[in-house]
This record gives sequence, structure tokens and C-alpha cells, in this order.
Amino acid sequence: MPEDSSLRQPATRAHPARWRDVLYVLPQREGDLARLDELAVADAPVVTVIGKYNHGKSRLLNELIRRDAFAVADRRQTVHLAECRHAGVRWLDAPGLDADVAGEDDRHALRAVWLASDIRLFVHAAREGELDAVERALLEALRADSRRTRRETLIVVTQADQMEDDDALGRVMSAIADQVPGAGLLVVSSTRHRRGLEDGKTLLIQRSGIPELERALADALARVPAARAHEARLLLGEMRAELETVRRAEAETLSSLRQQQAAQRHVFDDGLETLLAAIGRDMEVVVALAGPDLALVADTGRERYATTAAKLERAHIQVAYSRACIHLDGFLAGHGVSGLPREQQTAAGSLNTVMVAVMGVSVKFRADLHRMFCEAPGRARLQAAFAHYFELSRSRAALRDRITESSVALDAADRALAALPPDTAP
Amino acid sequence: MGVKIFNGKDVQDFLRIIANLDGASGNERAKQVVHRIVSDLFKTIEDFDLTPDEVWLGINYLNKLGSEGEAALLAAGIGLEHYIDMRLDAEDAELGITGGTPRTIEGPLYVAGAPEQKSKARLDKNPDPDAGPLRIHGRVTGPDGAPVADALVEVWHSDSKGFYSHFDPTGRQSEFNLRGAIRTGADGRYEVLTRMPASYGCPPSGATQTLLNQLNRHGNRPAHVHFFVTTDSFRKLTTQFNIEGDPLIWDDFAFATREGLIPHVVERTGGQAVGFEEDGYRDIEFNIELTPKVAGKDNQIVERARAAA
Repeated sequence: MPEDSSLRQPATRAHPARWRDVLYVLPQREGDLARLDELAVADAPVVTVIGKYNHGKSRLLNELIRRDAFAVADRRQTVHLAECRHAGVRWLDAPGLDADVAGEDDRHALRAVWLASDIRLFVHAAREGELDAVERALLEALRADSRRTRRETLIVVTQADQMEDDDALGRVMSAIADQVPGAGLLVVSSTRHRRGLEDGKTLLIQRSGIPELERALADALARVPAARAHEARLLLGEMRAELETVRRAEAETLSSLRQQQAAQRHVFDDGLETLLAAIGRDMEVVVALAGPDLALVADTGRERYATTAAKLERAHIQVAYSRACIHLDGFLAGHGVSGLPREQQTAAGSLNTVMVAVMGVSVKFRADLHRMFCEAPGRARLQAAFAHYFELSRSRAALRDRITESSVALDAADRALAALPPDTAP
Repeated sequence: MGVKIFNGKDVQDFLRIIANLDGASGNERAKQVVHRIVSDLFKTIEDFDLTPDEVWLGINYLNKLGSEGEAALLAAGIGLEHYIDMRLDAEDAELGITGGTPRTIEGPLYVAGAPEQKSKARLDKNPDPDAGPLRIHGRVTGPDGAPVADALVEVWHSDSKGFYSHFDPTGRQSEFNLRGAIRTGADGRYEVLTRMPASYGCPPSGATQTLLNQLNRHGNRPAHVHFFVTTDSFRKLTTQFNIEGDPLIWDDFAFATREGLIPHVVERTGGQAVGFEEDGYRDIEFNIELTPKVAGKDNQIVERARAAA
């Protein structure tokens, strides 16, 4: 039995390197990409016979290719995809579609039906009567695929000779026609065809239905090149459209995240600048005392428990400085900037704050406060230092991560689009 | 004026129940201390007619203080740490122990495990352009003035931002920067080369300074250098000296300044000869006189939680 060993591979394994970038974005398109690969190398049209086992698939194929190339048996015989070439067509005999749907046989069947075939002959034995649920589901899928890809499916009722009489056959045909409305049904008898050929009985050959099937097949085969071109265009077009949708959505997400990032920063910068300016104005009053800075004059040991002008002045500026810091701290907390990033935290919990890291704990005298709050460079330094920690805050880091993710996804969509060949060259 | 119920039988009975003062088991000392503290608190509430809002403000403040890890800072700020020192001094006076380098508070920023060096150590590991070179040296002696060999002199102080290594939220200092452990030789001498510490204070928006704001007090300390001096034969000395000329010297929020702990700062040249890169440096001689054990025991050893690295 001839066999194409390349078909032993799992049913839908797309070429990994060629489609890696597309698959990364559209993993659900693995089957379509594999089909594109098939279309790129396919030469002769491919006709696949499918159906449940023992419905006469192999026997029908033998009649169509005029020789006994496919094994025929009462038990489930066709376990691998069998192939034969005849009259410029690749004929495939798919394994029977039966209960063990997850087995190796069925993967071969799927490969034959979905990847390798241009035309499917869906075979159903007349004696079985109506189509069962599995057959109907598969047929529904095949007909939907036909509408989309223009790959045709011919429904062939076989073993007509096994029916009691024409009435019985007529009842079965009418029942099946009700199950798949709008589908043309073909009736054949491989036995009659064989006998007709062997005995030279033209009438028997006519009555076998095979010539009619062959005419229908010939018409369908003539439409294969156009159907293939359509399918390649369709698959590429669909995937391109899908990728463009993904790309557009990702670009919008990225742009909106970046706007959000800029807007948050703007609000932070503006609010902080306003607050620092207000603190600066208040601090002008605190530090604008006439005369020498009493805070810089050391007290004596005798005054250790006494109140001195110098001590009052030191308390005065420190309390003003503390109040300014408490304002700043409140503003920062409102923007999620309170605790230090973990890598900067120390064993002393009291020091693990952005306020302490930025302001330090060194003692601030009048000149220091003036430099820090009342002069533009001082405020700019504080502005920059707090903005640094704002960017390290948890919510800003999370936003940055989302922007990175989105930008990676956008690049992936761009790479996938670049990897997709133009519509005209599948 | 508010109601007066504190001295009534009801409140007094209530206080005894709160501390389980008349109950059989439990820690008697804890019961008495809790009874006293709660009694004083109740009396404060009555005397100042504190409103429920004010009481809850205080309770929530304790939570803030704890969550910010500032209880030890507040202890210094409300003089608790210095009060303990005052009591130890009075105890010494009663025992007739005089002389010796004055003790003062330890503070919360000691870190055990600085690598030990013989006689001399360089403490600054990180550049700090705002802090000039400082040489500290002196002699460890006993009460008789004789040099003490094998004394371990541990030194730690802040950088120019007021931050200590291991507790620097800017992450600029490496391990044991500005910290050292020097073992004296037979001459009892120690010497460290380091950079000038800065005066620093409580976190400006932290719980301690927030309370001090209500008292119109600052939470700042003069620049200082911490010492532990440990030997086998004498009492362990916990002290600090202040940097002479610092305006905060007698205005320390932790009340740790003492006469005898403000050594002179001398401007010197020839820094390269002692081991500095610069020529000009400041020099402080700080001699340490240890005090004897009491009945063979160190009655001043303080057990408290300390950081180790």
C-alpha cells in the first residue's frame, strides 16, 4: 500500500521557523498555516475519501482509479492515510472516522480532511440509513469550510446494491437529504460498477452511479486551481486582518498607557511644584528675620535646662521645617510615594521613608531652609528627587511593566505581519 | 470644669482590678507598675479634663509611633534615656564611685560585628565630600591612670547627611562605614581616621517630631561620636563626645551632652603623615578613664535589642 511518510507527522504542525512570529500572535491559526504550507507545495489536486469504516471508502476509491490499490476488508483496515496517484489526481483514503477520536488514526484522518484535500468525498453506506451524529457534525464542518474556502465536499451514498429495492433506497436518500438540506447527493454501487466493467455491461455501469460521480468530480477538479488561489488569498487575508486588528488594539493600548503615564507625571509635577512654591512663600517669613542667626550661637552648659533665645530660634525653624515636611509627606502619600523601595530599606523602620531619603536628617538652619525652599534651584532639586521616587513607586512601576508588555506585543504583531507573505504569493 | 471621680472608691477599686493588684498569681512587679502608670494616666485625664477625642488622638499616636519604629527616638526626646543616666550617676555617687569618663546614652544605631583592628583603624569607606578628615585618638586608662591593654574601643558616627551605615535609606554607605572596633595595645592607645559627623535629628515628618511640634521643640542633636569601651577588668563604658563648636551642644533633644564629653577640636596640617589624603585635618584627643566593677560585677550592663551585621 503506497504511503506518504511525511503524512505521519502530527495532524497540524505548521512549519516552525517560517511561521514562528505569526504563531506567537495567532496560535489558533496553526492549522491554517499548515494548510498554507500544503498549498505552497501542492501540485496535483487531492481527493480524499472520508467516512466511517466499512462504509465502502476503499472500494469506491479502487473503482475510481480502476485498480485495487486500496485494501478492502470487513474490519477496520485503513489505519494509516493511504495514497495513490491516478489520472493527475492524488487520491487519499482516510482512516475510518470512528469512536476513538483522539487516536493516531483520527489525526491522520484530520490531516487528510483538513490539510491535504482539495475535494472531499464524504462516504455513507445506504444500509446504515440516516447519518449519525458524528457524521452530521463532520459534514456540517466540511460544508461550512466549503463555503469559506471553496474546497468542495461531495456526499456519496455507497453500497446502493445492498438495499432491498429502490423504494427502500429512496427512503434513505430522502431522509439524508432532509438531514443536509441543499446538498446534492450522489448514489453509487462499487459492486455494480465492477461487475459492469468485468462483464462489459454498459447499463450496469450506468446504474452504478460511478459515471455520474466521475462527472461531478471532473467538474469539481476543474475548479480546484481557482479554489486554491481563493483559499490562499482567504487565509492570508484573514490572518492579515486579524493581525492588523491585534496590532491596532495593541497600538491603542500602548498609546493610552503612555498618555496615562505622562498625565500622572504631569499631575504629580504640577501639584508638587505648587506645593513647594507655597512652602517657599511660608518659609520666606520664617527665615527672613533681621539680625544674626541666633540659632548658630551655642548655649553654655549652665543653660542646659534653661530657655534661651537661641533655643527658641532653633525650635522655631525646626517646627516650621517639620510642618513643611508633613505637608510634603501628605502630598506624596496621596501619590503612593511613602515607603522606600525594598532595596533601599534599612533596619531602622523610622528611616525607610521617601521623606527621610530625600530630606536627610541633618540639622537644617536658616540658610539651609532658604536654600532648599526659597531659591529656585533648591526647589528644583527637591522636585527632581521626589519625582525620582515617584517613578519608583509601586503603581508607577506596574504601569511601566504594562507599557513594556504592550510594546513587546506590538513588536510581535509587527514581526508577525512582516512574516506573512503578500496576498498574491502564498 | 470637669467632673472629679478619680479619688472615689469606685475608680480606685477599678484601678486595682485593672492591674489585678489583689489577685493571687501574675508578676507582682508588673502589676504594681501597671497600676501606677494607669493610675497616673487616669489622674492626668481627670486633672486636664481630657476629652474622649483627645484620648483617642493619643492612642492613635502610639500606633503611629510604633508603626514608624520611633519609640526609641521618643524615649530620647522625652528624656527617658537621660533620666536613666541621671539615676545611674546618683547610684555611683551613693556607692562613692567618682571620676572616670562620664557615661551617656547609647542611642539606637549601634551595630555589632565591626571588624576588629589593632591600635589604629580607618573608618571611612565611602567618599563624603561634605565631611572633612577627622582624627580621633586617646588613651584608655584605669582609675589609677595606668594604660589598659586589650580594651576594645568601638566607635560609630554619622556621615555628613546625618545617616549611619546600615541605617542609610539613600543606600550610599557600605557595611561598617564610619564604624570601627579598635583593640588597644600595651600603651592603652587607640587611633581612628574618619570624616566629620554632622548634627542630625528626628525624621522631620515622623511621629517624634510631630509630637515635639506640639511642644515647640526641635528633635535635633549636636554632631557626636559614639563609644563603647569594653575590658575584662572594668565596667563597660557607653558614651559619646560632641563636636566642639556645634551650636546644638547644650540644646540636644536627647539631653546626652555632658561636661567632660566636649573635647577640643584642633585644626592641624600634615594630614598625609597620619594617613589622610588631605593636608589639613581636625584632631580630637579623647582620653578614656574606666571605672571599677562593683563587688566584682559590672552593675551598668544594659541589655537591649541591638542590630548585628
